[in-house]
Amino acid sequence: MRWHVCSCIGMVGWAISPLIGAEPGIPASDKPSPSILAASPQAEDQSVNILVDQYIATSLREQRLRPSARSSDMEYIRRVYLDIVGHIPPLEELESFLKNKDRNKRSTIVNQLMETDGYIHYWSDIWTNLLVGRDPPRAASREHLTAWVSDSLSTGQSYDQFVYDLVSATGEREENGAVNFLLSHLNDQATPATAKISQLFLGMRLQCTQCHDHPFNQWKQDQFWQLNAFFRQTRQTREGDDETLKVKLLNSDDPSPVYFERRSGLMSVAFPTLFDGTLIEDFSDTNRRRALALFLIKPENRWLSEALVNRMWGHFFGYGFTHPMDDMGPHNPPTHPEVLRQLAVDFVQSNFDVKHLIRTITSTEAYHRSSVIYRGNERDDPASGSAPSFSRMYVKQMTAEQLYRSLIIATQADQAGAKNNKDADARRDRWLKQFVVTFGTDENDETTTFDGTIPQALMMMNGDLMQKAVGVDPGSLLVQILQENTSDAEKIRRLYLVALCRYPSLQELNGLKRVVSTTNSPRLIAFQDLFWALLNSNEFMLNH
Amino acid sequence: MKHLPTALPAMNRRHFLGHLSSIASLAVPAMHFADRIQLHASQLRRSQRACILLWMGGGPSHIDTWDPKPESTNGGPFRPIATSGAMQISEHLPRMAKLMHLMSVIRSMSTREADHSRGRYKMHTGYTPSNTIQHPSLGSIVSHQMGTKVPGLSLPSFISVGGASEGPGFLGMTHAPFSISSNGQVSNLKPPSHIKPVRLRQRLEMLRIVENHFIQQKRGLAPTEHKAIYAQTLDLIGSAQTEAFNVNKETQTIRERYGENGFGRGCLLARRLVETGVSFVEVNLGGWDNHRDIFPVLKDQRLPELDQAMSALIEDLNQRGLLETTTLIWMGEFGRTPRINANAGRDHWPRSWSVVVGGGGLQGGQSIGKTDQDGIEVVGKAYEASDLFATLCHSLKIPSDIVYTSRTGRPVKITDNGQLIKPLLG
Repeated sequence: MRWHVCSCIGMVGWAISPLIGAEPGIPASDKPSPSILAASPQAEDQSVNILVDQYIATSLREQRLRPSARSSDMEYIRRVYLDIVGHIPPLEELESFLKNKDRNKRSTIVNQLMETDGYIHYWSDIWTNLLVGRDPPRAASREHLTAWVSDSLSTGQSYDQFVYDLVSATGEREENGAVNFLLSHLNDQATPATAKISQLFLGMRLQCTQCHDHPFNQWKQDQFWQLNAFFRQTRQTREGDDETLKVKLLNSDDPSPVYFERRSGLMSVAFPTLFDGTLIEDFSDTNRRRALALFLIKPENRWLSEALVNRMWGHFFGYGFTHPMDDMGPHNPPTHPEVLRQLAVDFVQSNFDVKHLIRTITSTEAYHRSSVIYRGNERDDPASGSAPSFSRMYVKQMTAEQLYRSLIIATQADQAGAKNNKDADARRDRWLKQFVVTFGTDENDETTTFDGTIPQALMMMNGDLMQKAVGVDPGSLLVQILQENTSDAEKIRRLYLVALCRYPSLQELNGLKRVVSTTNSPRLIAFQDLFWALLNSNEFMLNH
Repeated sequence: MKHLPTALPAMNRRHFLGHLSSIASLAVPAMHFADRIQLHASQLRRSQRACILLWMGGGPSHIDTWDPKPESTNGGPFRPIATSGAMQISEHLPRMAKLMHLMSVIRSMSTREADHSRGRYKMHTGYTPSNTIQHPSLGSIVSHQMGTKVPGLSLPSFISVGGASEGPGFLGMTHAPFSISSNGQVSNLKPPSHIKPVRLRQRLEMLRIVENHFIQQKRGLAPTEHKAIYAQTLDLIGSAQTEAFNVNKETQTIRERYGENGFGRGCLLARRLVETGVSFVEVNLGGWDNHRDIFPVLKDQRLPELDQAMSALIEDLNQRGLLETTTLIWMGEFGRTPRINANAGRDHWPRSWSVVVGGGGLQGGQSIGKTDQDGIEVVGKAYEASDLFATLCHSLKIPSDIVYTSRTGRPVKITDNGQLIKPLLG
């Protein structure tokens, strides 16, 4: 596949300048350990988030925007669970949080959640989707990649190491799950791999265009193929039949560079060359992917840290500092460059510790704001195209994975039947696949119709999963609540808490009591229908 | 809303009310245009315009389809054949060759976007991708302009068949494509059998209480859109028109004429949907991203599939008198490089490529614009995506000077200053 490489690579000059405030030139192999860098992680967190708060406050003043109020505990706890472990809080944990009088309980819960299996589970899903999508080519084993990411998360691997392993991986796909990332993108001379690595890890969209008018066009096309040349030795082997299939990712000793065609039709050659212009001298003998991986994670290269910070900020706020999140560079300046830079520097100093970054982001004032719009910040509405100012929390559509898990939590349905997490995941992934649609190109790009449109609404209203959710199997939360010896009003209040993490307003309570008491349906059915209504509501399906 | 018909079918009243509440909060055309728009809706209803987009995901080669170059080394192995129109096309489109008096080929498209996602955006919206605004795709514009106003229609007005499409941008989720598979199967279309209408009503009454509370708290557009999507979904659930999805209702002969494959089914489905009153149907045929070994793939797979289904669709629309009011477009993200690459494939090429249009009052039988003898440069006037969009809007009787006001107050023209492609207007 040929790529018309564009101005995005123009960021080369911009991006390799040393990090502000960081020691330039620390070799990747010789990084200080986190203990040396951050004697007191708590104090570090605080100073950075205060700086971030100041930057955002200043920009709000300049734009004459008044921030929304601080979120209530109920609003916050639902959000923080969805953002960190990918589901709404279970009833018991919700109640214990609300009762807790500790002033630091909001940061405590962040730390606690990051130590749960739910955290590993959720983020291994996110990374698997980012790395290979929901329906990767058959050469790759999505399942083993997920398992590998889970391991990486549970052993607390740093982000630079994570990227290094994915880019340099070799081995059999079931033995080293990391190889499944590249196995998914090796078609067409590994051009998808070249573009994917740049976009995902560096926030550089090399496949974009607008190259025609650019004075340095030829040089840029070279750059793409020079990057592609790092995959020249990469090979995939298959042994056995369907039953015993072994797929391996290997590096051959192929000494050749890459040949590509210029627009004029002339063939050119590209040698493996890093973005900063360093040619890999003895490229015929070097393990090229390893050389590339080492370069990517060099702390003085801002790409890796800024791209991850942008992605994580986008995860927590619904909008990153650039739109799209993974298209960074001088052609697309960030909305809050100081915040991005500050967080990236801090992330590198923490030795690429993602949990540290999550702690920092979730302790900014902005993260604690309500999503309710006030007079004074109506203009801050990125959903309608304005650049985000972070004067309030933005409402996010739950992802398919979040919605699925939240339904399970809210209903405790589907608990029986699955022997373990793996079975449950396999079942869920099959279920999610029905919503995947593709674009018909060779770049393996896909999207989902589970995006708040009609197919999702149909599933939520009529689907199996919802039937199970409002079913009255013994052990379901609905049955437990109905069996409690309480008034209708109290039952309604409990169901609200389960589904929406809040109590009903007086108006809602009265309205619903009236429906429940006037219906001809048996009481049980009336409450099933109420639960259906709560789970189908905008409030349940939106992360706010 | 005085232009709405006085006797709405009972079924449709709630449908209408649902849209009414959503329209009030979504992006609306600038106030001084509002009256014109309403006037427009009533005209549209009378003329019942519709549009079918045949989307060729991956970017099809122009030289191997509609703009053959037999004299050039770039020409490839396919020979040109004569057609019923004033142009020659690839020998592997023999059925289409007999219908080209109804369709025109624009051979001088030139669009600059050579990346799939950017090209897809451009050719769906008429705009270059922007970091600050999300433009609506043509299907969403049509849905917004007339979809909700087609009397008695209880299906979504923008339906995408057999693949992914572009979104509604600032027009909001209610104008997003409803995506269905090419066999017309819609999952979860009916409530479980034990949920009788009385229970569904009870559920919806409770849902209304919960939803309105959240909307009143003012958290932006999403809560209101959710409610509007549910209103559309309810229309769909209760609709007898979902019969249109059932392509198996067609006779075996007809199904075979379209082709027993995804695209064939999709085109047949498109005809059924347009007959039912759906305003915009996009049918996807992927697999044109032929970077290697392009010729056998086109000859044995893509072109026969395309030729069979597209010709059957045009024949049927024409025979049933629907072609006059149905605008048909065939296109992908871009064309493919005139030069054949080292892998016997062709790469992305937006500089000079072809789009096929017809129906909806557009003049057929023409070859508009041309490329040089090697298919590399446009000779004479080149057309941009915006020109195509202005022309399509004209054909759909949507005035191309409509200005939307996004909720941030920014005025956005429905097309990006496109000029009408005059020869198509007859």
